Amino acid sequence: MHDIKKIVRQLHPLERKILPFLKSYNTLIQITKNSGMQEIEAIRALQWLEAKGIVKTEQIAVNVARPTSTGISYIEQGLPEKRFIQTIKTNVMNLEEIKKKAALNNEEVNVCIGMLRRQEFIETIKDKEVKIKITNKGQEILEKGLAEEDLLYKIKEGAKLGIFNEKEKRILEELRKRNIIKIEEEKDKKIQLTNLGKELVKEEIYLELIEGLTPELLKSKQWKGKEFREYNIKAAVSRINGGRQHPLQETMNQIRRIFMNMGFKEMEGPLVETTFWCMDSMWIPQDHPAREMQDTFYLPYEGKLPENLKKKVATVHETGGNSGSKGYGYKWDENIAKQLLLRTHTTATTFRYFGEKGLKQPAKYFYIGRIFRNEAIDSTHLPEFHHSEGFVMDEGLTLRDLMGYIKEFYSQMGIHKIKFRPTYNPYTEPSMEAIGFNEQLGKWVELINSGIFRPESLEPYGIKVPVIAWGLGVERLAMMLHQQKSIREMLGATGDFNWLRNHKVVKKW
Amino acid sequence: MVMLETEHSTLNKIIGKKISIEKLEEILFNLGFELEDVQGDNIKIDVTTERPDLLSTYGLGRTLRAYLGRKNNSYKIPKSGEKLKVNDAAKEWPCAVACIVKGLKFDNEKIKEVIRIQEKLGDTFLRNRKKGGIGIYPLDKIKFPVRFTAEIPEKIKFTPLESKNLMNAHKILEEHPTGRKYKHIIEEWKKFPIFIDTNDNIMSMPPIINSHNLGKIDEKTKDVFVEATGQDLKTINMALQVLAAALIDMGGKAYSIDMIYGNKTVTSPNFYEEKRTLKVQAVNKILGLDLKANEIKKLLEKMSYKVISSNKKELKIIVDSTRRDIWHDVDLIDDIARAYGFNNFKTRFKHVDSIGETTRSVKIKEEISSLMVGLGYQEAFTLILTDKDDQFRKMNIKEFKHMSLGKSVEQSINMTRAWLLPELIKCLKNNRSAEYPQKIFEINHVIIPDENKDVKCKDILRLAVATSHSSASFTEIKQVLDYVINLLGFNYELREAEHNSFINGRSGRISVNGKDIAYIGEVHPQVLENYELEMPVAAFELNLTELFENINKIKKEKP
Repeated sequence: MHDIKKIVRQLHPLERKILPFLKSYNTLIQITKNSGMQEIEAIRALQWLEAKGIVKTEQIAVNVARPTSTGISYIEQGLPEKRFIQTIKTNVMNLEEIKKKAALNNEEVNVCIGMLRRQEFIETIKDKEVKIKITNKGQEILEKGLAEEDLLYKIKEGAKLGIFNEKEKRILEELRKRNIIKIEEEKDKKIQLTNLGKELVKEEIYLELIEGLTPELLKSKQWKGKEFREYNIKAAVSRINGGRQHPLQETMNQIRRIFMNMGFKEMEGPLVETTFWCMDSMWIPQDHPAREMQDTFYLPYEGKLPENLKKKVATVHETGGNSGSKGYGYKWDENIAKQLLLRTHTTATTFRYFGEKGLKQPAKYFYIGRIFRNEAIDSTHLPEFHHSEGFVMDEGLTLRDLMGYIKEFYSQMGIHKIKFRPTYNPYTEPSMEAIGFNEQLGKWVELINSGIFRPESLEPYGIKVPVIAWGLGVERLAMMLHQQKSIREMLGATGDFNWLRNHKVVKKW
Repeated sequence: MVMLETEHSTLNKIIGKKISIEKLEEILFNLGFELEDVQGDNIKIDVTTERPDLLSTYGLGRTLRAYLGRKNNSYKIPKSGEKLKVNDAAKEWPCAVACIVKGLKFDNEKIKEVIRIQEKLGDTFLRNRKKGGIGIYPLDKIKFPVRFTAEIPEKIKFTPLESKNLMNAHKILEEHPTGRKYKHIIEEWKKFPIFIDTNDNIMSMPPIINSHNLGKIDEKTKDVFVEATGQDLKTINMALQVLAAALIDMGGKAYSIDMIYGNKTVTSPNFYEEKRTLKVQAVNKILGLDLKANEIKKLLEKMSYKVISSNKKELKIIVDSTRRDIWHDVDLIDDIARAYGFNNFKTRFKHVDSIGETTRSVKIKEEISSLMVGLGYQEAFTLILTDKDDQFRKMNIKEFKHMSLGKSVEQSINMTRAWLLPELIKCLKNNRSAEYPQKIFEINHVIIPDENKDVKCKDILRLAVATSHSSASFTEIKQVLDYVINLLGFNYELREAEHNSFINGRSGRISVNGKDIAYIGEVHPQVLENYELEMPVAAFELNLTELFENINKIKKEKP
C-alpha cells in the first residue's frame, strides 16, 4: 500500500508545481505552455513522478505547423491577396497602381491574380487599358476575413496539425505549398496518470513544507513549527570523483614507510648516469650482456669520471687488486665507462653513495627510483619502471641476516610465507631471490633479488665489511596489491582515469 | 636468462638414474635454476650466462650427477700430433683453437644435441657470434696440417653448408640465409677469416658458415675436428672446452691440437685445473654457519669440486677450467650455500643502528601532493621517455635544450622529457572517454642539460597541473597556483608573457624573488587540436627545484 500522505510530503517543488496541470492536460507541450514551467523542469518533474509510479509517459511525435519567415512577414503585413483586394476596395485600378499601393512584387501579383480570379473575387475590365475591379463576392470576403489569414494567425506560435478540420488542413496545405507555413515533426510526451496518480491529484498538495534550510530561515527562526519536505533517501545518487594519489605512489609510500620504520635512510641519485656508475663501479664486466645496446638506452654524450676512483676501479676489473680476486684479466677501457646512459638499475645510486659520500658502517640506506630498459612496449612491458632497494653495511652481517632482513621487510608488507633460492648477479655473491606466497592469488610470486656485495665491487671504496642488499620491482608489487594486470593502464600517459579514480584502497591495517 | 632446451629422458640417461620431474624441479630450484616448461619429454631449463658449462645437456647432467653423489670422470686429453697453423689471420678475428674427437657414434639425437650446444654457445656465451664462432667437421675429409688465415672476400670461393652452388664470400653473405643473418659481423672487414686444409680446400669461413663438402657431419661421422675462433683466446678456449666436454661425455675420445702462432705453440683444449685454498672461517663468516672442514668438503664435492686435502682450518680445492665464474672465494662459498640449500638456513636479524630519514624532495613532493589531492586533483604518473613531436611540435613551440637518446627499440622514444605538461595533455588525450571534469597533476622529474654535471644534465622536480572541462579557465587554474604557492609560504609575481602553447593574452610567467619558476595559461586550441582534444584545458607548470633552492638562498642571506 502506498502511503499517500508520505508521498505528498516527499514531493519536490517542481513535482508539486506540475501535478495540478496533469488533471487537465496530457502532453508535455500543453503542460509547459499552460504551467509556465520550463521544459527542462517539467521533464525532470515527470521523470521523478514516473519513478514513483505516479505517471506513465510515452514518447510521441506530432506534426506542428509554423509560419516560415515569409509567413511571419505576412502576419505583420497581411497576406498578398488580402492587400490586393483591400487596395481596390473602392477604386478600379490598373496592375501597376495596385502593385505600388499594396507593396507587392511581380511574383506575388501573379499569384494573387490567378487565385482571386479563380475564386471570383475580382474581375478585369477593358477600358483604354486593363483595369481590375473587386466583385461583390470580393467585398463580402473582405468583410468576413480570409480563412487563410485566420489560420495563419492560429499557427503563429506553432500548432499541432491534429486540432484542425479537413477544410482547414487543405488550406494549410495550400499555404505550405506557397511556402508561407512549414509543417515539422516535433517530439512530445504523452502523460497519463496512474491509479496512484489519480488518487494523488485529489489530495491537498499545497502543504507548507520547507524545501531547503537556508541561513535566512535559521536567522528568522521561521522554521519553527513547520515541516520539511521529506526526501526519498533511497534514491540513487550519481558517483563523484575525488582527488587521489596514484596507486604507484601509494605503493612507494608503503615501501618508504617500511624502510623508515626499520631505520633506513633514503638516497637519491641522477636518472642519467655514466656507464661507470651504472656498471663499472660495481664490477660488472665491460663485456657483460646487460650492457648491450638492445637492453640499455645510451645517450649520445660522454660524461666525466671521478678521477680518484677511476684507477681503483680499473685495477679491480683488470687484476682484482687487493680484493682477493683474479679479476677479469682484460684491459679496462675508460671510454666505455664514460658513455652516458639512462640507469638500468638503482644500484648505480648505491655505488655513488659508496664512492661519493664515503659511507662508514653501521649504515642502512634505501632508494626508490625510476629505471630504464630499451624494450618494446606491450601490456606487460614499458621501457621504464621503478626499483626499490635497500642495503645494510656492518661488521658480522651474513647470508642469514640478509634472509632475516628480507623476511622482516615482507612481513611488514603482509607476506609471511617466503622461500629463498640462489641466483646469479654480477655484483653480489652469494646471490639470492626470494619468492613469496601471495594469499590473494594463491601462488608463489617473485619478490626480490638480493645478495652480498662482492669484495671486488666494494674494494675501490675501501669498504671491508659485508654489505647485504636487496632490490624489488615497484610496479610488480603495485600491480599485485592493486590487482592490476596491465602496466600500461597504471603507468604512463596511457594510465586509465577510470581505474585511477576507482581503484580500491589497499588495506594495510 | 638462458634457456637450455632438452629432454627429460636424455638428462636421466646422462645422470644414470631416473629423476622424476618433481624431484628435478626441486634440485634445480635449490641450485638456482628454474624448470621453465615441461611438454611431455621436452623440458626447458633457465640456466645462467655465467655458466657456459651448463649450456649442454651433458654439462648440466654432470652437475646433477655430482649433486646426487655420483662420480664424474675427469677430462684427460692426449696429443693428436696434428697441427693448426695460424698465420695472417684477420686483425678483427685473430684467435683459433681446435681439437679432435674420435670414436663418436652419432645418431640423430646426438647430432641434434651437438647443433644445440653450438647454437646456444654462439647465441649466448659468444654473444650471437660477435665474440666467437664454433665449427665441427668430419675428420676424414680434412688433410692436416690445417691453416687459419684470412683472405679478401673475392678470393674466397666454396659451397656453403646446405647449398649446391659454389659461391664467393660476398654472395654467401648476400644469399645464404646464415650468411645474411651474420653478415653484419664481418662485412666491413678487408679480409675474412677462413680455415684451409693442406690440399687448399676451404673448410669454412668463421664465424659465418662451414663448407658443405668439408664441414657437414651426419650419422656416419665418427671422428670430428672441432674449432673455435674469435677475438680473444680465453673466451674461445672456454667455448671449445664446453663443446669438447660434451663430446667426451657422449662417448668420444678427445685429442689435443698444437696451434702454431708464429714461433709460439699453444695446445688446446686446455682443460687446466686451478688449485685454490679456502679457509673454513671465511665460509662461516659469510654464511653465518658453523660448518666443519669435512662438512664443507662434502658440500664442495656435491658442487663438482675436487678437494685434495683439508685440515681444520682450510681446504685445498681443484676448480675445473670450465667454471669461468670462480674469481674469488665468495664464488666457492656461494656454491657451498647452494649445496647446503638456501631454505635450510635459519634466518637471523642483526640489529644495525641507524635512524630512518627521507629526502627533502620526497618531503616536498608529499606536502604538495596532499594539497593537490585536497583540491580534488588526480595524481598522474607519466613516462620520462618521450617523443620530440609530443614535447615540441604538438605543443606549438620550437625545440629547446633537452637530452636526446641514441638507438631505441620504439620509434616514438627519442628524448627524455624536458617539461611535464605535454605528458599530462597526453593523459587527457588517452582518457577522452572518461568523465569530465578531468583534473590531474604530476610531481616528477624532467631532465635538463647541464654541462657542469658529470652526467651533463640534471633532474629537475616539477609540478604540472591541468584542468579540463567545458568551462576550464585561466581563473580556475590561477586559483590553484595561488593556493599552492601561498600555502608553501612564497610571494610571487605574475606577469603577462607570450607562450605559444597557450592562448595569447591568457598566459603568464610567475616569478619568486626575481626568478622565473612557472608558466600558466589556457592551452592554445591548436595544441588541443594536435592532441585531438575537444575540451578546453587550463594548466600550469612549476619548477619546484628552483623554488626551493630559492628559499635556501634567502635563508642564507637573512640569518
